[in-house]
Amino acid sequence: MSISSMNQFKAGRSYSVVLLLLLMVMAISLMACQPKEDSKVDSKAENNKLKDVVVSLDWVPNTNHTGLYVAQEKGYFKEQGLNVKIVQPSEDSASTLVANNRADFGIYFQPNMTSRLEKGVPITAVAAILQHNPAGLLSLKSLGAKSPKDLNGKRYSTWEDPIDDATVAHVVGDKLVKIPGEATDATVALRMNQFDYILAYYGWDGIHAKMQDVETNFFFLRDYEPIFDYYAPVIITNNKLLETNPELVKKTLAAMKKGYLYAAKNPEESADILVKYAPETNKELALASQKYISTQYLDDNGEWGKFDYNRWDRFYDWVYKQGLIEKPLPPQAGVTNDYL
Amino acid sequence: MTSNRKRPQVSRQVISLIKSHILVILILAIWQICVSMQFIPDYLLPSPLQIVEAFIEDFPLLMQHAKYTLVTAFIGTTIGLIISFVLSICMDLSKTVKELIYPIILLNQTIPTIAIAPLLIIWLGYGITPKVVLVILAVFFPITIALVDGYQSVSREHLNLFKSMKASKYQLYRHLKIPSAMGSFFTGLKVALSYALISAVIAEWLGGYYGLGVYMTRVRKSYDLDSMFAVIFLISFLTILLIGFVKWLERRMLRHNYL
Repeated sequence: MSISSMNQFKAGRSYSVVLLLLLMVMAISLMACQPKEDSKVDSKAENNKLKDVVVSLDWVPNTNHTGLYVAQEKGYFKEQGLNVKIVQPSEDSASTLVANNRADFGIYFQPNMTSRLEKGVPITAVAAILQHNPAGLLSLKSLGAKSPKDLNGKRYSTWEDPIDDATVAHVVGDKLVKIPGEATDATVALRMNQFDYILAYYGWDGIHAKMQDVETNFFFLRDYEPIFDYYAPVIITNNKLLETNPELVKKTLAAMKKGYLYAAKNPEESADILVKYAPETNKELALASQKYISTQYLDDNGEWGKFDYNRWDRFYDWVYKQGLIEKPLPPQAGVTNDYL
Repeated sequence: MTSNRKRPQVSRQVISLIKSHILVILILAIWQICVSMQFIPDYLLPSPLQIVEAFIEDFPLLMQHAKYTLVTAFIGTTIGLIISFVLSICMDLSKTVKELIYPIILLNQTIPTIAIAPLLIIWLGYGITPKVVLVILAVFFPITIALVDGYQSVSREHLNLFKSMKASKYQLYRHLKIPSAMGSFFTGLKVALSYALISAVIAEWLGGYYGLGVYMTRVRKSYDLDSMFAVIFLISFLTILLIGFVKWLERRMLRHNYL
């Protein structure tokens, strides 16, 4: 009995087990892949004539996106000959995805577009999802603020976006006491006294605070400075797509518009559709938020998506005058109503 | 005779099982009491029972998402294993290759996942590819290092013996180096697997259609802390399960070593 023969015995067995393990893992992976590939092929064959379109959300699905899911559920995209995929990107990456052709459309925000447009990123806003800016300052009622001015010198939770900070300073006053950080749950953070106020969206955080029976004040930015009735959120697309395939943009927007018009009229059913496509969403919050947001999709004439160029330009003028960008942006920079 | 010897062993096993879990049970009980008595408000920390409820309510959804995450982790680990084997043998065969590759592997390990994941998604799309790449990046380091160390732990006597018997390179690896490296390989594999799942989840945070990471971001934005904890526990449980499987495999394969 030499060492080598013992080793040989040992090695022979362990070697084959390793091989077996590898094969098993590969087989499992392949098996797991198989149905997916199949269904892909199937749906491709089925949607033979449909044009593939990728729409990137701004982040996780919420009531700003309901119209897209309604259009998907009701087949409005199919009517236009489109096979739309709605994807969830990482936070604040929709513009990069659209600029790099990883997505055909994206959900984005006018203030976030500023630096992108300044750098010449080829994106254009083609439809406004909400007609008025839903952003405002959220604070606990117990703080006793009657207007944003009363928040001057109080602790402000910031994610350190220069434009947002300048916006807040403009309505509050120059004494910004910054508490940097990402507040996952604004209501809880306020209750925990981590800061006194935060820039938030009424349609989600404001409604959530109400649902939690937490008494809060919400000051819409636009009520204190008309310049801040900028557009958030908006639908953006790549400039190249606008040039090469304007028909596709028009068709997609037509389907989206139909979805949002439906969601405006049927908040409850639409909230259900949103939750169907994103079942991880809190149902009560989705419904409460939808009931509010549905009133915000359309303008006074019952139209969806139209921009008021004056409001758009007014905000970028202000951004330039604040010294937040080096060169002024031209009129109607990165925005158009032409494809609605 | 055997049954007599087995019985105390079984009861001892049960006792040790309870012993090893009593702390966990105690912590859960205290946790539950603290939340129920409202020492800690449940909007800050949901109670274990709330988490279980959320888990049961979302079970089918969690399983659907878990499937995608596990597939990503499996494919990534498999490819990572293959790369590791090839790379480790190349590094063991040639000192130059080792000196060239080692710093790169080390550097790769220092890249924060969260920084490159968004780039991977821009380069490779939202499908499974960028996620698998991320898992490969995470797993191949511990496995490669473990294998290289394992090959080098072979004693000089064994090497000399193989040389004196004029063993070919293939035989050297097949019968000596790879078997000897198995012990450290499994240590590396256990570390790698614990990275694999969490890397897949992080990749999914950054975009995609399905996966436990996608579930996580969505319940977070819905402020459903109980679902958040449910998915965290599920990920921990799956990781423990995977590592348990590797341990079992290791025991089976390396049994002869303890003879």
